[in-house]
Amino acid sequence: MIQYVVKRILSLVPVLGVVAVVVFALVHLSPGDPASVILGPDASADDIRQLRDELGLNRPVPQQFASWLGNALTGDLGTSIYSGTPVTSVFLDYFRPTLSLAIFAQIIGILVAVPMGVFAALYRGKWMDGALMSFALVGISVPSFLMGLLLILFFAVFLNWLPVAGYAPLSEGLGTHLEYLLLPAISLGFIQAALITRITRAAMLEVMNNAYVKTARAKGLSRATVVIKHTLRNAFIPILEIIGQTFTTLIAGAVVVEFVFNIPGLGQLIVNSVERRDFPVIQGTVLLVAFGYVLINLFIDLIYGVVDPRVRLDQ
Amino acid sequence: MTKSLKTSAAVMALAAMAGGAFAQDRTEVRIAYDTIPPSIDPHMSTAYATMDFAAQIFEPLVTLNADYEPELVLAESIDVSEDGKTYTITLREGVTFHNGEPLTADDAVASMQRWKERSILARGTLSDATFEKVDDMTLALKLAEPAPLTLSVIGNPMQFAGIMPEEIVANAPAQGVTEYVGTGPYRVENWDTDQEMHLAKFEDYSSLDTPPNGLAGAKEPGVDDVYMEIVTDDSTRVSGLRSGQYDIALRLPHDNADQIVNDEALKIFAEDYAFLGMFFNKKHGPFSDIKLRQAVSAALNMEEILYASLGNDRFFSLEHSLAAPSQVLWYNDAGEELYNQDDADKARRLIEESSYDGEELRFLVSRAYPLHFYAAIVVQQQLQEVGLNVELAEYDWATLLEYRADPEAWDLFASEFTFEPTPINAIFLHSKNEYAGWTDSPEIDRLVEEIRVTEDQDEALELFKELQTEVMEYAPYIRYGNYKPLHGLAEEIEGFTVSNNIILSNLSVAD
Repeated sequence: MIQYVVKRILSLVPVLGVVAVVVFALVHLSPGDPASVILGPDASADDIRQLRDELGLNRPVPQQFASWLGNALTGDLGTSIYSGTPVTSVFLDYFRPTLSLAIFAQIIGILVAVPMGVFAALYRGKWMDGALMSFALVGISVPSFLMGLLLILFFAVFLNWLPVAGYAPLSEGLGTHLEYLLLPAISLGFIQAALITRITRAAMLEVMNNAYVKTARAKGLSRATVVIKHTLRNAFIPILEIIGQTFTTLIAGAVVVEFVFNIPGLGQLIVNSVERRDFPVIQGTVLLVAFGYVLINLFIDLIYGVVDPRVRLDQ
Repeated sequence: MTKSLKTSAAVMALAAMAGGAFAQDRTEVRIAYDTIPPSIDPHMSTAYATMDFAAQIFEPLVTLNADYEPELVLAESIDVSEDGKTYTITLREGVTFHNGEPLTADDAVASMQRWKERSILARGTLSDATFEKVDDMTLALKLAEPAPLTLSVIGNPMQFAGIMPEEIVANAPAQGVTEYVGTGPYRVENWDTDQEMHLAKFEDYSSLDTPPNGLAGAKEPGVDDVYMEIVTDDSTRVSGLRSGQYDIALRLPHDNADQIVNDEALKIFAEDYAFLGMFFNKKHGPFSDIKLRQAVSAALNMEEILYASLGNDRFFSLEHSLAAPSQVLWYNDAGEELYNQDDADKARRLIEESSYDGEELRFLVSRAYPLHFYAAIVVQQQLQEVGLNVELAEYDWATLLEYRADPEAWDLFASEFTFEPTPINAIFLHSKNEYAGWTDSPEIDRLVEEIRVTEDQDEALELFKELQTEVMEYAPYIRYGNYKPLHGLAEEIEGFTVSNNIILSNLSVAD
């Protein structure tokens, strides 16, 4: 087992190496540079050249890469050209809102989707099933930004119940925190809910056809007990699986929602940094995100390994 | 302290929202701002967003009033020597920086010197000038040649000469100062880069007692806190204004004007701000031929172009003058016959006479500025109709800036310019500025230089008319016309004005 884990961890090194090279190359070979953005639209070519010099951007690209990689290996991802703050702390600042949003959206997704999927399965072929599944179809089809705009229009502009946009960190109290996150989480969770509903329904149907479910019914157990204790519990494995797998896509999907709701999350950070060519932030953030992804995947694989010994490839 | 302030502000805002009309003395204003400023350092950047933020924090020695005339701000007096080469500037007593230190000549000299090295305008017009300390409260500006327009240059609101403490100037990082210490009516309480700037009223601000006039005069904020929130999404700014979350929302899509006008709780602010246009690449490619530029000038119908961009004629005006109509001194209609010609036959004839051979004409444009983009689509159509093969090359802003610097990468680019207080100083006129498009007309250069040193006003004006006619003939660029950005305000907001940059110094909230 330990050997397997070590092997898996070592295999991450080339993956991250490739990411580092590709990101660095993309950032430095595409047109546009921070100096011309900082100096504004009327700046002269000389000024831009001078600032590029001062920022160290006129050094040969391989040399810049070597010094960046060297620092990155010691955990120093550089500082933002704009704010002067270290990239790692910028990353953490912007990661928290995204994480909050993703978790909240996931919770909303599950709370809505699981009951819907269960009812759709129980009333298979009936009008309720059709209605719930159409709802799920709409959920998958409606883009999250449109959903977001509609929610803003109704709950924030007409009813004035919730703020239109913005973000309050957890330190301002859970209530305020959630108040700002509710609408974005709904628009993001809606898509998630649609997906989970369909999986829940399919999983429920599969389990419902098992002999033990029929036995439980025949034994005279109430319908609710059968559904909750015997069916849903057993159907939950594929549901959990899809929840885990889609969590990372949820973070990616947050980009658009963050823009509509003006949440200072990772998506905004990356887009803003690309727009003004804040090279260290783009490189550092992408590298850290990639690192996060491979770690999550590694973790999931290891869990499989624990649950299912056949997965341990060293044997 | 910051945190608790912020919390109570948020609670208040929520309470105000929940309760609808929450009648009590409002002491804070929330502004939804549309772009992230690339820098807050006024000496560094030529971006308008930089000025909008920096002008609330920093102050210059001299500024321009609403009529573009110089007025003193941090200077108590300015004496010009007989020969016109020495300006003795005495600083106002009792002015303190946000860090509590008093303003001295050392600070002014350090700031002016840095500004002079950075500012494109100063380098073009004051290149041989020096700023020297005379005593603790006096400095001298020494010029090589007398220049009657010097004060307008020092007071120019773009890339303005904000005064900062000497030690901050001395330790400024390459990408611009990161400590925002000025003498202005607001101090920076907190700046969450990319998110929000909390400006707090500066209690020790020493205001002038002349009435507010453009960027000049008294500055007496009626509110304690101003929050400039960066909200880049257009529809979010509109929704936030309508819901009451923002008191002011800047640069809204013009399509939303009716919606705001029809809302009783809201009002709009729309005044002449800049001209929209496009620049020719005169260094390389087909537009180095003056005939082809004149053909474009002949072909275009400005009304159609502006209507497509702004959707309503109340937001634009057909103007070709180098000066804004409000610049009464300079404004004139010389060269009018060459503006908005909409003459396809003339255009075809000029194309025939030119060396144009059907090459593709690359028109650089960025959707970061939707107005530029909408206009470019109509321009493309109009030019295609007379036989010019115009291709739109659409990029993000940073890419556009890079390509624009390369004479071989483009033929046209879309842009806009706010009104230059002294129109001859517009960066795109004199060849020395080497502004993208590379205007290179000895005649234009000569006229600009002559006007700069002409002391007699009438004479200067005659030369200026000549310059304007020459510009229309030479066609370094095409002006579509002037436009008014749309800002939305809550009905109770008073004292909001714009003069080159937004002015928040006399903002108040009515009961």
